[in-house]
Amino acid sequence: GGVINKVMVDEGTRREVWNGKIPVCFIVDQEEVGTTNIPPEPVFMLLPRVSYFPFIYDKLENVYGGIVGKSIEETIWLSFGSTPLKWHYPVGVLYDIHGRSSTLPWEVIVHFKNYPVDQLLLYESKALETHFKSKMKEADWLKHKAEVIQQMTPQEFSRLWQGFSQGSYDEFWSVNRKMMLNSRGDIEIFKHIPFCIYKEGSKVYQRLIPGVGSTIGDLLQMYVKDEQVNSKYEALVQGVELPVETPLQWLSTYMCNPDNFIHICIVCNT
Amino acid sequence: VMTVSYDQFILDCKHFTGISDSLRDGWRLKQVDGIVYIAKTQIVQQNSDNTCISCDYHVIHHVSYQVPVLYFTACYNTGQVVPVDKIWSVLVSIDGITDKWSMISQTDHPIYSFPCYYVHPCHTATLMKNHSKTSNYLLTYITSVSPLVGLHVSIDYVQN
Repeated sequence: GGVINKVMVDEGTRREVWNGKIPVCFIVDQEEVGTTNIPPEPVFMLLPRVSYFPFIYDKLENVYGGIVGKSIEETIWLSFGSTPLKWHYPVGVLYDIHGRSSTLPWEVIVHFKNYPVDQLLLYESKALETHFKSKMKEADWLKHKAEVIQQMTPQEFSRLWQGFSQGSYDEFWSVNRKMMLNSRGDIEIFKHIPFCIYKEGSKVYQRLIPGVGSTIGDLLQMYVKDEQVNSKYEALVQGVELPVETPLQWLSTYMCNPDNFIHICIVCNT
Repeated sequence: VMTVSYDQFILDCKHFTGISDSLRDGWRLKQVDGIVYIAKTQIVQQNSDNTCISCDYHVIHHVSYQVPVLYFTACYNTGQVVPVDKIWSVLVSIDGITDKWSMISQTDHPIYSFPCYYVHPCHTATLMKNHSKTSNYLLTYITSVSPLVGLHVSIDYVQN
Protein backbone atom coordinates (compact mmCIF):
# COMPACT_ATOMS: atom_id res chain seq x y z
CA GLY A 1 0.00 0.00 0.00
CA GLY A 2 1.02 3.63 0.51
CA VAL A 3 3.42 2.95 3.39
CA ILE A 4 5.40 0.33 1.47
CA ASN A 5 5.78 2.64 -1.52
CA LYS A 6 7.15 5.42 0.70
CA VAL A 7 9.77 3.06 2.15
CA MET A 8 10.84 2.03 -1.35
CA VAL A 9 11.09 5.66 -2.47
CA ASP A 10 13.12 6.61 0.60
CA GLU A 11 15.46 3.64 0.17
CA GLY A 12 15.76 4.48 -3.51
CA THR A 13 16.74 8.03 -2.60
CA ARG A 14 19.46 6.71 -0.34
CA ARG A 15 20.88 4.61 -3.19
CA GLU A 16 20.70 7.52 -5.59
CA VAL A 17 22.69 9.64 -3.15
CA TRP A 18 25.30 6.87 -2.90
CA ASN A 19 25.48 6.51 -6.70
CA GLY A 20 25.63 10.22 -7.58
CA LYS A 21 28.86 11.03 -9.45
CA ILE A 22 30.94 13.94 -10.68
CA PRO A 23 33.09 13.64 -13.82
CA VAL A 24 36.53 15.06 -13.01
CA CYS A 25 39.49 15.78 -15.30
CA PHE A 26 42.81 15.87 -13.44
CA ILE A 27 45.73 17.76 -14.94
CA VAL A 28 49.11 18.10 -13.30
CA ASP A 29 50.47 21.56 -12.44
CA GLN A 30 52.43 22.63 -15.52
CA GLU A 31 54.98 24.53 -13.45
CA GLU A 32 55.96 21.34 -11.67
CA VAL A 33 56.46 19.43 -14.90
CA GLY A 34 58.82 21.94 -16.47
CA THR A 35 58.81 23.31 -19.97
CA THR A 36 61.23 20.80 -21.45
CA ASN A 37 58.87 17.89 -20.88
CA ILE A 38 55.88 16.90 -23.01
CA PRO A 39 52.75 17.83 -21.02
CA PRO A 40 51.38 14.67 -19.40
CA GLU A 41 47.95 13.37 -20.38
CA PRO A 42 44.99 14.38 -18.22
CA VAL A 43 43.32 11.66 -16.14
CA PHE A 44 39.54 11.30 -16.23
CA MET A 45 37.59 9.84 -13.33
CA LEU A 46 33.93 9.51 -12.42
CA LEU A 47 33.95 10.14 -8.68
CA PRO A 48 31.12 9.50 -6.21
CA ARG A 49 29.76 12.72 -4.72
CA VAL A 50 29.88 11.17 -1.26
CA SER A 51 33.54 10.13 -1.54
CA TYR A 52 36.70 12.07 -0.76
CA PHE A 53 39.63 12.97 -3.03
CA PRO A 54 42.20 11.16 -0.81
CA PHE A 55 40.57 7.86 -1.90
CA ILE A 56 42.24 8.37 -5.30
CA TYR A 57 45.46 10.06 -4.18
CA ASP A 58 47.37 6.80 -4.77
CA LYS A 59 46.13 6.60 -8.38
CA LEU A 60 47.20 10.20 -9.06
CA GLU A 61 50.58 9.64 -7.44
CA ASN A 62 51.14 6.57 -9.59
CA VAL A 63 50.37 8.53 -12.75
CA TYR A 64 52.13 11.82 -12.00
CA GLY A 65 54.51 11.27 -9.10
CA GLY A 66 57.37 10.06 -11.26
CA ILE A 67 56.97 12.81 -13.87
CA VAL A 68 57.32 15.62 -11.33
CA GLY A 69 60.00 13.85 -9.33
CA LYS A 70 57.92 13.67 -6.17
CA SER A 71 59.96 13.05 -3.03
CA ILE A 72 58.89 11.05 0.04
CA GLU A 73 58.36 14.20 2.12
CA GLU A 74 56.10 15.84 -0.44
CA THR A 75 52.33 15.46 -0.12
CA ILE A 76 49.88 15.63 -3.00
CA TRP A 77 47.29 18.38 -3.00
CA LEU A 78 44.58 19.52 -5.40
CA SER A 79 43.22 22.86 -6.55
CA PHE A 80 40.50 24.29 -8.73
CA GLY A 81 42.28 27.09 -10.49
CA SER A 82 44.25 28.76 -7.73
CA THR A 83 41.90 27.65 -4.94
CA PRO A 84 43.24 24.72 -2.89
CA LEU A 85 40.60 22.01 -2.37
CA LYS A 86 40.06 20.90 1.23
CA TRP A 87 40.70 17.15 1.25
CA HIS A 88 38.36 16.59 4.20
CA TYR A 89 35.30 17.93 2.33
CA PRO A 90 33.28 15.41 0.24
CA VAL A 91 33.89 15.58 -3.54
CA GLY A 92 30.27 16.58 -4.23
CA VAL A 93 30.44 19.44 -1.74
CA LEU A 94 33.66 20.75 -3.27
CA TYR A 95 32.05 20.61 -6.71
CA ASP A 96 28.90 22.42 -5.50
CA ILE A 97 30.98 25.12 -3.83
CA HIS A 98 33.62 25.66 -6.50
CA GLY A 99 32.78 23.90 -9.75
CA ARG A 100 29.06 24.38 -10.31
CA SER A 101 29.39 27.14 -12.85
CA SER A 102 32.17 25.54 -14.89
CA THR A 103 31.63 23.02 -17.68
CA LEU A 104 31.93 19.28 -17.11
CA PRO A 105 34.22 17.44 -16.70
CA TRP A 106 35.35 19.46 -13.70
CA GLU A 107 39.00 20.42 -14.16
CA VAL A 108 41.13 19.85 -11.06
CA ILE A 109 44.87 20.56 -10.86
CA VAL A 110 47.26 18.10 -9.20
CA HIS A 111 50.22 19.49 -7.22
CA PHE A 112 53.07 17.94 -5.27
CA LYS A 113 55.09 20.97 -4.28
CA ASN A 114 54.51 24.00 -2.03
CA TYR A 115 51.76 22.43 0.09
CA PRO A 116 49.60 25.40 1.24
CA VAL A 117 49.80 24.80 5.00
CA ASP A 118 47.98 28.06 5.67
CA GLN A 119 44.90 26.82 3.79
CA LEU A 120 44.88 23.01 3.91
CA LEU A 121 45.01 20.64 6.87
CA LEU A 122 48.07 18.40 6.96
CA TYR A 123 47.48 15.03 5.34
CA GLU A 124 48.85 11.56 6.05
CA SER A 125 47.42 8.13 5.23
CA LYS A 126 45.20 7.78 8.32
CA ALA A 127 44.03 11.41 8.38
CA LEU A 128 40.83 10.85 6.42
CA GLU A 129 39.67 7.87 8.48
CA THR A 130 40.39 9.81 11.69
CA HIS A 131 38.42 12.78 10.41
CA PHE A 132 35.51 10.56 9.30
CA LYS A 133 35.34 8.81 12.67
CA SER A 134 35.35 12.16 14.45
CA LYS A 135 32.47 13.41 12.29
CA MET A 136 30.44 10.26 12.96
CA LYS A 137 30.91 10.60 16.72
CA GLU A 138 29.84 14.21 16.54
CA ALA A 139 26.80 13.30 14.42
CA ASP A 140 25.67 10.67 16.92
CA TRP A 141 26.29 13.02 19.83
CA LEU A 142 23.87 15.45 18.17
CA LYS A 143 21.29 12.77 17.26
CA HIS A 144 21.43 10.42 20.24
CA LYS A 145 23.83 11.88 22.83
CA ALA A 146 26.34 9.33 21.41
CA GLU A 147 24.34 6.39 22.85
CA VAL A 148 24.27 4.51 19.53
CA ILE A 149 27.90 4.95 18.50
CA GLN A 150 29.04 3.95 21.98
CA GLN A 151 27.44 0.55 21.33
CA MET A 152 29.32 0.13 18.06
CA THR A 153 32.15 -2.43 18.21
CA PRO A 154 35.53 -1.85 16.55
CA GLN A 155 34.65 -4.64 14.08
CA GLU A 156 31.42 -2.85 13.15
CA PHE A 157 33.25 0.40 12.65
CA SER A 158 35.82 -1.41 10.56
CA ARG A 159 33.01 -2.77 8.31
CA LEU A 160 31.55 0.70 8.08
CA TRP A 161 34.85 2.20 6.93
CA GLN A 162 35.64 -0.67 4.61
CA GLY A 163 32.20 -0.50 3.05
CA PHE A 164 32.46 3.23 2.50
CA SER A 165 36.04 3.39 1.26
CA GLN A 166 35.41 0.53 -1.17
CA GLY A 167 32.08 1.85 -2.40
CA SER A 168 29.96 -1.01 -1.07
CA TYR A 169 26.48 0.38 -0.28
CA ASP A 170 25.23 -2.81 1.36
CA GLU A 171 28.25 -3.27 3.61
CA PHE A 172 28.22 0.36 4.72
CA TRP A 173 24.48 0.58 5.37
CA SER A 174 24.34 -2.80 7.12
CA VAL A 175 26.09 -1.01 9.99
CA ASN A 176 25.07 2.61 9.44
CA ARG A 177 21.33 1.82 9.55
CA LYS A 178 21.80 1.64 13.33
CA MET A 179 22.75 5.31 13.35
CA MET A 180 19.24 6.13 12.10
CA LEU A 181 17.61 4.43 15.10
CA ASN A 182 17.89 5.07 18.81
CA SER A 183 19.97 2.91 21.19
CA ARG A 184 17.03 0.50 21.60
CA GLY A 185 16.78 0.02 17.83
CA ASP A 186 13.55 2.01 17.47
CA ILE A 187 12.70 4.85 15.14
CA GLU A 188 12.92 8.12 17.06
CA ILE A 189 13.29 11.70 15.91
CA PHE A 190 16.88 12.96 16.26
CA LYS A 191 17.45 15.32 19.14
CA HIS A 192 19.46 17.64 16.89
CA ILE A 193 20.23 17.44 13.18
CA PRO A 194 23.89 17.07 12.17
CA PHE A 195 24.51 19.50 9.33
CA CYS A 196 27.27 21.56 7.72
CA ILE A 197 26.46 24.75 5.85
CA TYR A 198 28.67 26.15 3.10
CA LYS A 199 28.17 29.69 1.90
CA GLU A 200 30.28 31.84 -0.42
CA GLY A 201 32.98 29.22 -0.75
CA SER A 202 33.49 28.12 2.85
CA LYS A 203 31.92 26.39 5.79
CA VAL A 204 30.06 28.63 8.21
CA TYR A 205 29.75 28.49 11.98
CA GLN A 206 27.47 25.64 12.94
CA ARG A 207 24.31 26.07 15.01
CA LEU A 208 21.96 23.71 16.79
CA ILE A 209 18.68 22.80 15.14
CA PRO A 210 16.24 20.28 16.64
CA GLY A 211 15.02 17.27 14.68
CA VAL A 212 11.39 17.95 15.60
CA GLY A 213 9.62 20.11 13.04
CA SER A 214 12.69 21.67 11.39
CA THR A 215 12.78 22.31 7.65
CA ILE A 216 15.17 23.66 5.04
CA GLY A 217 13.30 26.96 5.37
CA ASP A 218 14.30 27.14 9.05
CA LEU A 219 17.95 26.68 8.11
CA LEU A 220 17.78 29.39 5.45
CA GLN A 221 16.24 31.74 8.03
CA MET A 222 19.26 31.12 10.27
CA TYR A 223 21.89 31.75 7.63
CA VAL A 224 20.40 34.16 5.14
CA LYS A 225 18.92 37.58 5.88
CA ASP A 226 15.12 37.52 5.94
CA GLU A 227 14.52 39.48 2.78
CA GLN A 228 16.78 37.22 0.74
CA VAL A 229 15.13 33.89 1.61
CA ASN A 230 13.05 32.49 -1.26
CA SER A 231 14.05 35.29 -3.56
CA LYS A 232 17.72 34.69 -4.28
CA TYR A 233 19.14 31.98 -2.03
CA GLU A 234 18.57 28.27 -2.33
CA ALA A 235 19.78 25.23 -0.47
CA LEU A 236 21.62 22.53 -2.41
CA VAL A 237 21.98 19.02 -1.00
CA GLN A 238 23.77 16.39 -3.11
CA GLY A 239 23.56 18.89 -5.93
CA VAL A 240 19.76 19.09 -5.74
CA GLU A 241 17.94 22.37 -4.98
CA LEU A 242 15.50 21.61 -2.19
CA PRO A 243 12.08 23.14 -1.47
CA VAL A 244 11.90 25.08 1.80
CA GLU A 245 9.30 22.69 3.24
CA THR A 246 11.71 19.71 3.13
CA PRO A 247 11.91 18.25 6.66
CA LEU A 248 15.46 18.02 8.03
CA GLN A 249 14.67 14.76 9.85
CA TRP A 250 13.88 13.11 6.51
CA LEU A 251 16.95 14.66 4.85
CA SER A 252 19.16 13.48 7.69
CA THR A 253 17.81 9.94 7.36
CA TYR A 254 17.84 9.58 3.56
CA MET A 255 20.09 12.22 1.99
CA CYS A 256 22.92 12.51 4.47
CA ASN A 257 26.52 11.76 3.60
CA PRO A 258 28.19 8.61 4.95
CA ASP A 259 29.53 10.72 7.85
CA ASN A 260 25.86 11.13 8.87
CA PHE A 261 25.93 14.88 8.28
CA ILE A 262 23.71 16.71 5.78
CA HIS A 263 26.05 18.92 3.77
CA ILE A 264 24.16 21.97 2.51
CA CYS A 265 25.48 24.52 0.05
CA ILE A 266 23.65 27.83 0.12
CA VAL A 267 23.80 29.27 -3.35
CA CYS A 268 22.75 32.55 -4.81
CA ASN A 269 20.73 32.33 -8.02
CA THR A 270 21.09 35.76 -9.58
CA VAL B 1 29.54 15.29 31.11
CA MET B 2 29.48 18.91 32.14
CA THR B 3 28.35 21.36 29.50
CA VAL B 4 27.90 25.10 29.43
CA SER B 5 25.25 26.95 27.45
CA TYR B 6 26.27 29.60 24.93
CA ASP B 7 24.55 32.31 27.01
CA GLN B 8 26.50 31.29 30.11
CA PHE B 9 29.68 31.13 28.01
CA ILE B 10 29.17 34.78 26.97
CA LEU B 11 28.77 35.81 30.62
CA ASP B 12 31.90 33.85 31.54
CA CYS B 13 33.82 35.53 28.68
CA LYS B 14 32.85 38.99 29.91
CA HIS B 15 33.83 38.10 33.47
CA PHE B 16 37.12 36.56 32.32
CA THR B 17 38.17 39.47 30.09
CA GLY B 18 37.27 41.83 32.95
CA ILE B 19 39.87 40.12 35.14
CA SER B 20 42.32 40.08 32.22
CA ASP B 21 41.94 43.85 31.80
CA SER B 22 42.70 44.46 35.48
CA LEU B 23 45.80 42.26 35.16
CA ARG B 24 46.69 43.76 31.76
CA ASP B 25 46.89 40.19 30.47
CA GLY B 26 45.77 40.86 26.90
CA TRP B 27 42.63 38.70 26.45
CA ARG B 28 40.16 40.44 24.14
CA LEU B 29 36.42 39.92 23.89
CA LYS B 30 35.55 39.46 20.21
CA GLN B 31 32.29 39.35 18.30
CA VAL B 32 32.26 38.22 14.67
CA ASP B 33 29.03 37.53 12.75
CA GLY B 34 27.24 37.59 16.07
CA ILE B 35 29.54 34.94 17.57
CA VAL B 36 31.19 35.91 20.86
CA TYR B 37 34.60 34.46 21.80
CA ILE B 38 37.87 35.49 23.46
CA ALA B 39 41.32 35.83 21.90
CA LYS B 40 44.88 36.44 22.99
CA THR B 41 48.21 36.72 21.19
CA GLN B 42 51.34 35.54 22.96
CA ILE B 43 54.93 35.84 21.76
CA VAL B 44 57.27 32.96 22.51
CA GLN B 45 60.95 33.50 21.98
CA GLN B 46 62.98 30.49 20.93
CA ASN B 47 66.26 30.36 22.78
CA SER B 48 67.89 28.21 20.13
CA ASP B 49 68.01 30.87 17.43
CA ASN B 50 66.38 34.02 18.87
CA THR B 51 63.44 33.79 16.47
CA CYS B 52 60.01 34.72 17.76
CA ILE B 53 56.89 32.66 17.42
CA SER B 54 53.61 34.50 17.62
CA CYS B 55 50.70 32.38 18.88
CA ASP B 56 47.06 33.29 18.56
CA TYR B 57 44.76 31.57 21.06
CA HIS B 58 40.99 31.59 20.60
CA VAL B 59 38.51 30.09 23.03
CA ILE B 60 35.25 29.48 21.19
CA HIS B 61 32.01 27.79 22.26
CA HIS B 62 31.62 24.45 20.46
CA VAL B 63 28.04 24.20 19.23
CA SER B 64 27.71 20.40 19.10
CA TYR B 65 29.42 19.57 22.40
CA GLN B 66 28.33 22.74 24.27
CA VAL B 67 31.74 23.32 25.86
CA PRO B 68 34.51 25.91 25.38
CA VAL B 69 37.31 24.77 23.06
CA LEU B 70 40.80 26.24 22.67
CA TYR B 71 42.04 26.76 19.10
CA PHE B 72 45.52 28.06 18.32
CA THR B 73 47.83 28.94 15.44
CA ALA B 74 51.50 29.83 15.44
CA CYS B 75 53.60 31.73 12.94
CA TYR B 76 57.01 33.35 12.68
CA ASN B 77 57.39 37.13 12.39
CA THR B 78 57.75 36.56 8.64
CA GLY B 79 54.13 35.41 8.65
CA GLN B 80 55.21 31.88 7.78
CA VAL B 81 53.30 29.11 9.53
CA VAL B 82 55.27 27.18 12.17
CA PRO B 83 55.71 23.55 11.04
CA VAL B 84 54.07 20.79 13.06
CA ASP B 85 57.27 19.36 14.54
CA LYS B 86 58.09 22.77 15.98
CA ILE B 87 54.56 22.99 17.40
CA TRP B 88 55.24 19.82 19.37
CA SER B 89 58.73 20.73 20.51
CA VAL B 90 58.27 24.41 21.35
CA LEU B 91 54.65 24.81 22.40
CA VAL B 92 53.00 21.59 23.35
CA SER B 93 53.97 19.64 26.42
CA ILE B 94 51.82 16.68 27.29
CA ASP B 95 53.56 14.56 29.89
CA GLY B 96 52.66 10.92 30.16
CA ILE B 97 50.52 10.82 27.04
CA THR B 98 52.05 8.78 24.24
CA ASP B 99 49.58 9.74 21.54
CA LYS B 100 49.65 13.53 21.45
CA TRP B 101 47.36 13.64 18.45
CA SER B 102 44.54 12.15 20.57
CA MET B 103 44.32 15.37 22.56
CA ILE B 104 45.52 18.01 20.15
CA SER B 105 44.65 17.80 16.48
CA GLN B 106 44.21 19.97 13.45
CA THR B 107 40.92 21.29 12.23
CA ASP B 108 39.49 24.20 10.32
CA HIS B 109 38.82 27.24 12.50
CA PRO B 110 35.04 27.17 13.17
CA ILE B 111 34.59 30.81 12.18
CA TYR B 112 37.35 31.64 9.71
CA SER B 113 37.97 28.16 8.20
CA PHE B 114 41.80 28.35 8.18
CA PRO B 115 43.75 25.37 9.56
CA CYS B 116 44.54 25.53 13.26
CA TYR B 117 45.29 23.25 16.19
CA TYR B 118 42.72 22.56 18.87
CA VAL B 119 42.22 20.66 22.09
CA HIS B 120 39.51 18.15 21.20
CA PRO B 121 36.21 18.82 23.00
CA CYS B 122 36.02 15.19 24.16
CA HIS B 123 38.86 16.06 26.54
CA THR B 124 37.06 18.99 28.09
CA ALA B 125 35.17 16.56 30.36
CA THR B 126 38.44 15.11 31.69
CA LEU B 127 39.94 18.55 32.13
CA MET B 128 36.84 19.83 33.90
CA LYS B 129 36.42 17.02 36.43
CA ASN B 130 37.64 19.19 39.29
CA HIS B 131 35.41 22.10 38.36
CA SER B 132 33.25 23.45 41.13
CA LYS B 133 29.83 24.75 40.04
CA THR B 134 30.33 28.01 41.86
CA SER B 135 33.30 29.16 39.84
CA ASN B 136 33.61 30.47 36.28
CA TYR B 137 33.53 27.44 33.91
CA LEU B 138 35.63 29.22 31.32
CA LEU B 139 38.28 30.13 33.90
CA THR B 140 38.57 26.51 35.05
CA TYR B 141 38.82 25.38 31.42
CA ILE B 142 41.55 27.86 30.50
CA THR B 143 43.65 27.18 33.59
CA SER B 144 43.37 23.41 32.91
CA VAL B 145 44.20 23.51 29.20
CA SER B 146 46.85 26.23 29.17
CA PRO B 147 49.83 24.13 30.36
CA LEU B 148 49.29 21.83 27.36
CA VAL B 149 49.73 24.56 24.80
CA GLY B 150 52.36 26.92 26.17
CA LEU B 151 49.79 29.47 27.28
CA HIS B 152 50.71 31.44 30.39
CA VAL B 153 47.87 32.06 32.83
CA SER B 154 48.64 34.01 35.97
CA ILE B 155 47.63 32.61 39.37
CA ASP B 156 46.04 36.02 39.96
CA TYR B 157 43.07 34.94 37.83
CA VAL B 158 42.06 32.37 40.38
CA GLN B 159 42.78 34.55 43.36
CA ASN B 160 40.79 37.45 41.91
